[in-house]
Amino acid sequence: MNADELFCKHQPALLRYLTRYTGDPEVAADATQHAYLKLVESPPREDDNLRAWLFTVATNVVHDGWRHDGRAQRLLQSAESLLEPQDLPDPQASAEYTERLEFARKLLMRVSDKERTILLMWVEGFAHKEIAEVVGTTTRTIGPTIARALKKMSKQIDEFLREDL
Amino acid sequence: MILSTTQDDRHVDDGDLIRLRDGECPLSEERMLRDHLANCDTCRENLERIEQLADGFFAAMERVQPSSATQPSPNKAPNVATIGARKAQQKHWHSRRPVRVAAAIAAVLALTLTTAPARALVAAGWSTVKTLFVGAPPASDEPQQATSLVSFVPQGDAFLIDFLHTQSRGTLSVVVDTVNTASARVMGGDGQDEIIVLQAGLRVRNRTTSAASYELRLPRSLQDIEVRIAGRTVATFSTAGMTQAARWEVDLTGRREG
Repeated sequence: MNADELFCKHQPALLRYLTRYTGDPEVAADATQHAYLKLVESPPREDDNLRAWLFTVATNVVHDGWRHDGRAQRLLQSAESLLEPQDLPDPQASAEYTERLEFARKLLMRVSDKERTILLMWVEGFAHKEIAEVVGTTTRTIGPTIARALKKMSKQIDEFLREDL
Repeated sequence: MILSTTQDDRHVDDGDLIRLRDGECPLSEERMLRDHLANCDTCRENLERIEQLADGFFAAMERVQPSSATQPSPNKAPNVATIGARKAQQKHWHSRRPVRVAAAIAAVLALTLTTAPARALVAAGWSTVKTLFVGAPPASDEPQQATSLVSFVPQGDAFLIDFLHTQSRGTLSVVVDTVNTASARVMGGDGQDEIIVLQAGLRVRNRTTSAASYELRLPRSLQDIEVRIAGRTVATFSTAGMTQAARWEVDLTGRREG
C-alpha cells in the first residue's frame, strides 16, 4: 500500500480527531495534510502501528506550530487533492454545527493536552496500549487518566445529557 | 492494585472501572472485578456513573463529525463489519480479544450450565427472557423493517452478545435456525447504536436512551450463546442437541416483569 492509499484509509479518523482536538475544522484539515506530508517525507517503519504513528505525528504537528512551516506547499497541494470535497471544512457551516463544535471545545478546555489526546484517541477506539505509546506513558495509567478527565468534565457532561434528553 | 482501600471498605477504583468497561483487563482480573461488582452496590453505582459520563462524552464528540465521517465513500469502506453511525475502522480494539472472549464464555458456561443440555435456557435475574417458539416458526413471524443489517460467519461454537448498556426500550430476539451465515439487524432507534462483529460474538455499543430492537439469526452450529447487558450475564442458551428452530426474546430495559 503506498502513502496515498494509507493516507486515504486513515484520513477520515484523523480529520475527525483533529477537528475535535483543535475545535477548528480548517486547522484540522491543514494539520491532516501536514501529517500526510510527514508520511511522504519520513514514513514509519514497516512494523510500526501506522494508525498510531499518524495520530502521534498529527498531534505533534498541532503542538509544533506547523502553520509557520512552509517547506513543501507543493506536497500539501498534493495532499489536498486526496481530500474529497465533503472532507473539506464548509465555510457555510450551520450555526448548529458551530455550536456543537464550540461545546466540544469548551468541554475539552477543562482537561490538559495530554488528557485531551487520550480522551480523543479513546473515542476513536484505540487500545489503551496504543494510546500509552502515543502519549508516552504506561498502559495502566490510561484508565485512571480517562476517569479523572471525565470527572473534570462531569458538570458539563451532565448538563449536556439533560439537554439531550 | 485492583481494589483500592478507603477506610473500612475496599472498592474498585475509577481507572479500573474504565479498564473493565473497555475490555482492557486480563480475564482473571476481569472475573475478580465482576465478582466484586456483583456484591458491591457502591462500585456498581460508580460504574454506572462512569458509563454515564463516558456515554455523554462520546455523544458530545460524535456530534462533531467532519461530513466525510458521516458519509463514508465506497472506497473508504470499513474493514470490520459494523452497523451504526461510527466507522468500524475505529474499533479494531474490539477484535483484539476473540480468544479471551471465547475463553470467558467457556468459563462462564462451565460454571453456570448445570441443566440438561438440550434447549436449556438459563435466564438470570433482572432481565425478562421469553421463549417465543421452539419448532416451526409461526407464519406471521416476519421480521420488522430493519434500519441496518450485517451478515457474518461466526467462528467456534460459543457466542457472546454483549450490550454495553441497558436501554429505555427495546428487545433482542435471538433466532437459532439451520442457516450457515449469521445476521444481525437493528430495528427502530435513531441509528446511533452500533453492532460490532467479533470473531466469537457481537458487541452492541448502545446508549441508555436507546429504543432500538435487535434481531440476531444464528446458525445451530453455535452451541452456547450468552447475552450480557451492562456487564451482567442475563441469559445463556445452549443449543446442543437442538433439532428445531427456536426464538427467544430478551428485554433490554433491565426491568423485571411483574
